[in-house]
Amino acid sequence: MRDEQLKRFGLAPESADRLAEQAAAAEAVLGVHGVSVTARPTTAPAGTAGRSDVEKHFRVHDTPSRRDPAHRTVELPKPVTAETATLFNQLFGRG
Amino acid sequence: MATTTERPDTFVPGRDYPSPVTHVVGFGYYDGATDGILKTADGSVFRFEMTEDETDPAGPNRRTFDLSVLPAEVFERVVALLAPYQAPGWPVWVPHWSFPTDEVRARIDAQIDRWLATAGRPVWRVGTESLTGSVSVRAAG
Repeated sequence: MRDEQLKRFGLAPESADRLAEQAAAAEAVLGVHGVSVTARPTTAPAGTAGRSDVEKHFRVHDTPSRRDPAHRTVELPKPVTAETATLFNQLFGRG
Repeated sequence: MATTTERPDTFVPGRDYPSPVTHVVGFGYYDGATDGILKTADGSVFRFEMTEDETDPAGPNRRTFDLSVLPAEVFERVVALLAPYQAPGWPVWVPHWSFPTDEVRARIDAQIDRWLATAGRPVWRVGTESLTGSVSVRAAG
């Protein structure tokens, strides 16, 4: 089975603080301390990573919404450290 | 133009005032709700759709939403339609869009489409980092 390609919108590396804020917000709404990615095809600028590569480091949850049935949430550890942010950014090809 | 630091009961033109939003049902989510329906403290109901997403790699996104008026009863009807499949959570509920069968999902999608189609033209343009946080509001169009 072909590996799902996960896209994280934007091409710039993201700070640990930003990832931590978004992970906290997602935990309150989706029940997962993590950030959004999508497996749907998109032409929007985005970093891309194979799901199996991401899952070597972070748990990936299927969190489908009405708008995006391919929405996924990459679970991040608490706290989100600079090392976590660096690894996340590297996985998605951002620096 | 609102200058109050107190939360109004519904949207009024103004900058950086406490959001009147009390309940959100998000139909889309990407680091925050992207579209759906919401209710304000006075019971007004709006359809919202994200029109801009200003990404700051070092901080939260600043998003712009267009809001269109919906009949007030739509909010409770949507909640009642979805609640048998998962428990709502407030102030922001993004239903996990997974149902027992494709037929159930299609029926729910069609009903929600019908309700959303009753929304008028956008009346408010809202800039915010969070729909339940601080908002800046101006008339749409």
